[in-house]
Amino acid sequence: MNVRGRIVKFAATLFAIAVLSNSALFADTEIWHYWLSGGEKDAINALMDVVKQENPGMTFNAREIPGASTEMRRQLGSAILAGNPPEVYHAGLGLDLKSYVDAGHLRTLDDVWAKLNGDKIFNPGLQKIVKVNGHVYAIPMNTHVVTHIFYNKKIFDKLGLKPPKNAEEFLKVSAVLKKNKIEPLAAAAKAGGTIYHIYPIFIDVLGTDGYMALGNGSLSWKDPKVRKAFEEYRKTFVSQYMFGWSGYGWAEAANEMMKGNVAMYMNGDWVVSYFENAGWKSGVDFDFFPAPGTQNTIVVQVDGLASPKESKDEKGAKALLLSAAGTAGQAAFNRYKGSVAANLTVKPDIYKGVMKATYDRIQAISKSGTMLPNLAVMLPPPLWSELKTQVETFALKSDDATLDKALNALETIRLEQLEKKAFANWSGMN
Amino acid sequence: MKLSDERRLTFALFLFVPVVCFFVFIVYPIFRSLTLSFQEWDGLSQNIEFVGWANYKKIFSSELLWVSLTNNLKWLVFSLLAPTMLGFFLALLVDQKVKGESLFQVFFFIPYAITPVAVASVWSWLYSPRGGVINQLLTSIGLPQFRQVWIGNPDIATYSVMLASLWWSTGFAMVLYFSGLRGIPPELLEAADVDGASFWVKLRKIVFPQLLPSTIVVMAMQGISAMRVFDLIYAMTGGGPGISTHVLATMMFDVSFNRFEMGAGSAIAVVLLVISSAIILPYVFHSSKGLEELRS
Repeated sequence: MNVRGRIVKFAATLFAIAVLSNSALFADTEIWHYWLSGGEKDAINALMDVVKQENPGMTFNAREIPGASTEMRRQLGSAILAGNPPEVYHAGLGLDLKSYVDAGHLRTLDDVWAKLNGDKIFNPGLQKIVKVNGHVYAIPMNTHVVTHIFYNKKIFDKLGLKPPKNAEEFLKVSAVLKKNKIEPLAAAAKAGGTIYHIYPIFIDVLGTDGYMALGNGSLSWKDPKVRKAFEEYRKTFVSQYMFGWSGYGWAEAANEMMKGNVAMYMNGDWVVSYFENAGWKSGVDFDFFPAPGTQNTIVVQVDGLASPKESKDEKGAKALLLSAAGTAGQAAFNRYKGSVAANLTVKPDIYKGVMKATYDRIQAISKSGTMLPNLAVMLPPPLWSELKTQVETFALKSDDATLDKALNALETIRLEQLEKKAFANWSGMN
Repeated sequence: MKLSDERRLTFALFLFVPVVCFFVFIVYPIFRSLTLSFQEWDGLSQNIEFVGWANYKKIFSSELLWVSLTNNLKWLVFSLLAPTMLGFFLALLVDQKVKGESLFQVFFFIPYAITPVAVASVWSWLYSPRGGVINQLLTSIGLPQFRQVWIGNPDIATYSVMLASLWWSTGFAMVLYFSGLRGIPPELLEAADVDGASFWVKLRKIVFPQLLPSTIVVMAMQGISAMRVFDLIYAMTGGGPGISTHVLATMMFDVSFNRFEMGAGSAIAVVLLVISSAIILPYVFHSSKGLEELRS
């Protein structure tokens, strides 16, 4: 072959590689998600079955992104820059969603919302965190409660303990457990496993307005009340933590409660599907009570789905989102996910045991209580990340010097973020 | 066209791809990190603002940087000493012409073939505070007072991760030393035997000097790993508890992808690059010198 021929062949090979690497050739409508563990995986599989059934002739592909929201943001950012993001992705809501919207990377879903009659079928609180500047940018999939404490029912029954209703009762129950050589509270360090434990204390000490003020950036972390909240956290929760809690991940910590080494565990209600998958019976082996200070309040974590503007198949994206937001899609998803469907038209008979009780509580709180968003969706990422670190550090070494250092660090970042106008003016969820 | 020109063109074409890859995937990202370290960007927004030295000021005033830097130095000292010495010791053992020699080689080298995330998973399980093998073993031999929260105690967590790393990386040092030992001319050792030299004298006067090239390679590779250590820490502790096990690489990831401060993350990358270069350049010079000597 002459030189010219070689050059042509070389160029043709390069072109072929470039073309083949362009995923437009693979015409599946893709969703990226990080629902990877037992029940979560079943949930996304069930959802995709509904999506496929409702959209015959279209092809859908669900791709797992291990590494949760951090890895999702990293990979999605690269894919957006490369002009090749998925049609739909598992989205963080609130401020995280707003950051994508502000950067001009999200497609509005106003038409999907209108078709669904979204203003009617979704909880008004949830609607606030999927809308930016009056436009819809995400579909809420569920409601997870992060202020419930799960307990080993057999241990409680054996010792004649009743679920505590306030901090004082909680401490009394913990004392009885300790006396019976059972550690009161499981906790985990990895991935900010202690952060939710301070929420009920914030609500109790600062009130719901104070909690929202932390999220809005209008309350100083050096405010004496915030300091008091940390001190209460030390007294109520940290002193009850099990041996070696800082060496556990959330699932391992849940195992300790299942083994009967620990009586209570506070984490998001995604642990319900973990317990059930491990063979525990909801309402028989375990149950829950609202964390002290949250009798009339819940803090919720919501999973959402959004669609990057740069993705190629807008029609496929919207078809997928319509199915995911619909009654059948949400019922299929939440039956396995261990969460309550965001869509209010889903019949409650899909929930059993603890999840039915959670559903009932959410309904009651929607009518006569306060539903608060997770601080994760309200705080600017540097402050949220620092808060997780400082709460964990304080739980490890709960002296006043550590507390001073923690509050100073948080306040420094709050002021920095205020200067950057990074906070949003959140109102409550109901 | 002459044949030599044609061959030159062929070589140029073959070189084209790696050179382009080198510039696109190595040179450009370094340049971009450098420029980004003087800018503020959240990784998504179209607004990228020039902020001068602000990112450097910010990271150098952060406690996290000094904890990370200290941990990197601990990792450096540990990596230069522990796997090197243990690898040398194992290579000496395997070199004793024992039966099943290759089996021992494979046995010691296998951990290095395992992906670090799997290593992290296994060691996290071994370190589990209550059901973990290590604490259970301590309890069963009557030493429960020595049970530890291995990766949950900020005072010892970094050393616990280092132990996992030692198990993982020693095989690599052993293989390099073993090939070095097999490369020592037997006449030297035989002559020493004839002169009645003891084991220690042979080790000091013959083996160590002959293994100098292997030692340089092992130490350089371990030094490089110490500066870029990330996966084991990220998978075992995520930099925690608190910030106790962070190194510069995990800090860079945390700042860039948890806090979305790409500029500050890039500034950390630049600091890491400068420190790593200072450690790695002597090895590069040494290797280049060796190459020049071979050519001449």
